[in-house]
Amino acid sequence: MKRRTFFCALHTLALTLALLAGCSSSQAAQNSDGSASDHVFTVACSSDIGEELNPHLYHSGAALYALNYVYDPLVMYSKGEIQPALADEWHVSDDGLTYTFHIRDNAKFSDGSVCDAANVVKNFDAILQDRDAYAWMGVCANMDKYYAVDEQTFEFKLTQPYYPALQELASVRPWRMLGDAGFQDDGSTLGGIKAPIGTGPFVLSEYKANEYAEFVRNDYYWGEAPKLDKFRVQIIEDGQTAVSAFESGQVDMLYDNYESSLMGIDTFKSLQDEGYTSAISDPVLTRVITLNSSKKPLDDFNVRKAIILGLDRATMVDSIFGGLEELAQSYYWPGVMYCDVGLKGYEYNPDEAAKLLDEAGWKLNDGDEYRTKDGEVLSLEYYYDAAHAVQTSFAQVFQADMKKIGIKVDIFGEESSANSNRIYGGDFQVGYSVSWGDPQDPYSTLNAMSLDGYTDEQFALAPCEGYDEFAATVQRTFSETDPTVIQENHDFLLHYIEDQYCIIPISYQTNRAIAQKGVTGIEFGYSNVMPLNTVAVDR
Amino acid sequence: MKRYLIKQLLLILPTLLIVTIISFAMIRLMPADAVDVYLVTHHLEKNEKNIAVAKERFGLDEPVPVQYLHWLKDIIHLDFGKTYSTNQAVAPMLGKALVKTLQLAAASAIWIVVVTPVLGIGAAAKPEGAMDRLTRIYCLCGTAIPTFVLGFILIRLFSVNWKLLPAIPDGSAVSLILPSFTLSLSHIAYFVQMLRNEMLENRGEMFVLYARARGLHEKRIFWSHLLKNSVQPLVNTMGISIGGLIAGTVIVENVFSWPGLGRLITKAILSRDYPVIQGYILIVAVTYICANTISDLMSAIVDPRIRLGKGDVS
Repeated sequence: MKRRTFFCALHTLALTLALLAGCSSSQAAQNSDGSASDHVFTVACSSDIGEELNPHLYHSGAALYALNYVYDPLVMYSKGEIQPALADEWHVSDDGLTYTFHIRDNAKFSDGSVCDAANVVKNFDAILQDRDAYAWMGVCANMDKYYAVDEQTFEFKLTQPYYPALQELASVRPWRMLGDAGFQDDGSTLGGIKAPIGTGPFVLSEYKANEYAEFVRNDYYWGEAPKLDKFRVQIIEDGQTAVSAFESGQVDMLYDNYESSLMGIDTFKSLQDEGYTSAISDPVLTRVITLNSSKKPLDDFNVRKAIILGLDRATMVDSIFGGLEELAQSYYWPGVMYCDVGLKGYEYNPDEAAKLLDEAGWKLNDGDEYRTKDGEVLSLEYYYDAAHAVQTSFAQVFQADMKKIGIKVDIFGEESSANSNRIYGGDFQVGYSVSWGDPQDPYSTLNAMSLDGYTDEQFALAPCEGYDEFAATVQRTFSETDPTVIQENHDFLLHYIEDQYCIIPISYQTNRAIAQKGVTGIEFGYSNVMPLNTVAVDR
Repeated sequence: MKRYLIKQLLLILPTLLIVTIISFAMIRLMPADAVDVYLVTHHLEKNEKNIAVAKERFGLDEPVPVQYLHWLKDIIHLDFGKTYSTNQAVAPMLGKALVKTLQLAAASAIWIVVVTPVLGIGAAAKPEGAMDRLTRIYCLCGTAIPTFVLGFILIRLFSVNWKLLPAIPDGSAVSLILPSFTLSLSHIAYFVQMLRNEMLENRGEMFVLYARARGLHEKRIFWSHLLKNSVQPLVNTMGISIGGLIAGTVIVENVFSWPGLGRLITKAILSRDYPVIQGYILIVAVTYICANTISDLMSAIVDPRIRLGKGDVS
C-alpha cells in the first residue's frame, strides 16, 4: 500500500515537472520570439478567416479582410475613385452597356500561373452560378454576357446600364479572381475550392481554425512587394484579452474596423498616450440614430424635427469619441462618390424643439417632468445592442438630451442578434444603425432604402411624403449613364433624406490601428479590410 | 453490483433524450431565430419567399418534433449536420474543440489534485492556525471572485506586468497554465473546504478513537484512517466536477482566447447556429452523465450500502 502511494505521488510529481519543464522551454521560445530574427508580425482580429477562403461563395464564412489579402479584383475603389488592380486599363461604352478590361501583363497567381482573360471568364462562370445569393448586386442581376476578346482583354455586356458597376466590381466578394488550379474539376466553386490561389499580396500558409492564420508574401504579386515577408492573424474575440496580449508583446497590432472591433475608444486613446504607434483612417461609414416614422408619435413630422433639434450631437460626438470621430452632417461622408452635395446638417436648438412640440400638442405642464397630450406621456422606446459600447453611450446621451425637452425615453439593451432582428424587421421606434461603408456607399444603401423591408432606414423613410418619388429616383439613377444627371439625382436623394428628419447622422466612423513602437507604414483601405501591404517593422 | 451497474447504464439513455428534447425546444425559443439572423446578415428582405427559402435551406420547414427526429436519426449515425453560418461539417469542428477543452479540463484537474491535499491537509492539521486561516481566506476569495475577473487579473500580472506567461495560446503547453489555473481555482477552494471539514469532523469519529485504543501511531491514524475516510466524499464530488470543468470553460476560454468548446458555443449562440448548439449540448450532457455515472459506480464500489441499496447499516 505504501509503495502504491509512493508511486502515485511520484507519478503526480512527474506530470507536474513535465508540465513545468514544458513551461520553461516554451518560455525561452517566447523570449526568443521577441528578437528580430524569428518574430512573426501578429495582428489580432476578432473574427476567424473561415475554414475555406472561397472568394466567390457568399455562405463560405470567409472573412472579407482575409479574402482581400489573397485575391484581387479587376479594379479597386479608394477615396471615391476607381483604381487599377488586375486590369490596368478599362473602358465603358457610351451606352453604359459594355465594359472592357485589359488584364495587366504581369498578373500572376501565387502558384505561378498567369491570370488572363480566360481565367477571368472562368471566375465569372463560377460567380454567376451563385447569382441568387448576389441578386442585390446590379452586375449580377443585369449581366448579359461575358467573354475573352483576346488573351489579355476581358469584356462583359449588361442588359441595361448600371452606373455603379465598376464600384461593385471592387467589392471584396465575389468579384475576385481564383487561379485555375483552385477550381473544382467541374470548374465550379459552389462546392468549395481546392486551394486559395490568388494574385493578392499574400498567400495563406498555415491555418488553425479559431486560433490563427499565417500569410506569407506572394512572390508573384504584380504590385509593390509587401514589406512583411510573413504575418499572423491571431483570433482573439475578447477585446480586453486582445489588449492584454498587445501590452504583453504577443500581439504587434490591434486593428479596429467594421468586421473586427477589439479596442474601445478609451483603450485606443490610452494606448496612444502611452506612445504606441497609432493611425486613424478617413471616415469609412456613418453612424446614425434612426427615427421610425411608421410608429407613433414619430409619424408626426414636428415631433421628429423637435427630437433632432433637441439632440446636442456635437457634444455627444465629442464626449463619446473625444476627437477620434468627426461629427456627421449627412448620411454619407462628403468624400463618398456623388455625396458632396453641400448638406449642412441639423442644428442644435432646444428652444425651437420645445416650440415645435408645443405646436404638435405635446405640452409640458408645470411641475411635470415629461410632456403630455390628452393624458398620454410623450415617450419613446430605444432598443440597442448591449454588447456594443458605442451604442450604449448613444442611447444614454439620447435619453438625457430628450429629457431636457420633456421626452421620456426608455432604453433597452438587447443581445446582438435579437437587436439586429428587431431593427431590420422595423419593430422599433428609435434605433442605432450604420451605412454600409466603402465600396457599397452610396449605391447599395440607397438601393436598400428604396426596396421594401430591407433596412431600418427604409422603414423610417417609407411612410414619409414623397417617398415613392425617392424610391423611383434611386432605381432610375442606376441606369443613368450621364454623370451630371447621376450627380443631380444624388443631390435630390440626399436632400430628401435630410428633409424627412428620420435619420440622424451622428459621426463618421473611422478604422483605427495601434501597433508596437517601431511599426511603420500603416495605411488604410476601405471599411472592412486590414491592409498590411505597406506595414514594416523597424526594431 | 452487476444489477446496480445495469440500472445506472439504463438510466443514461432516457436522461440524454430528455436533455436533448428540452434543449432542442429551448433553442428555438430564443429571440431571433436562425432564419432571422440569416436574413439580417445576408441583407435579405424579410418576406415570405426568403423566409421559406431559408427555412428549407436549414431544414426548419418541418414541425419541430419532425426536425428533432431527423436530428436524432443523424446523431445515431454520428452525423451532427452542417453549420448554418459556414456550411462546414459540425462533427469535426466539435471534435477539434473538444480536444482543446479536454486539455484545459485535464490541466485544471491536475491543479485540483495537486493543490487540494496540500491546502486541505495543511488547514486541518492545525485548526485555527495560520495555515488554516490563510486557507479559509483563499476559499472565500476562490469561490467569490468571478472567473473572468480572476482571469484578467492573472493576465495583467503574469503576462503584462511580469511577462512570465503568455496571455493567449502560443502553441506551447505553457499556454495552459493561466487558463487551467483560473478554471481550477474555484474548484480547489470548494474541495479544500470540503476536505478540511471532513477531516475535522472525522477526527471525533469512533474509528479514530478505536485506532488510538489499538495503540496505532498518530501519523498512521492520520494518513491511513482519517485522510482515507475524508477523501472518499471528494472522489464522488470530483466526478460531478469533471462535467462542471468542461461546461465551465465558456468564460475561461473566451478570456484566454482558448480555442475550445466554450468559444465555439459562444459564437454559435450569437449566430443561432442550431446544429452546433445542439451538438455542444449533447457533448456536455454526455460528459455530465458519464462523469456522474462513474462517480456513482465508484461510490458503490467503496460503499456496499449504496450498491446493496440498504441505506445506513450502522
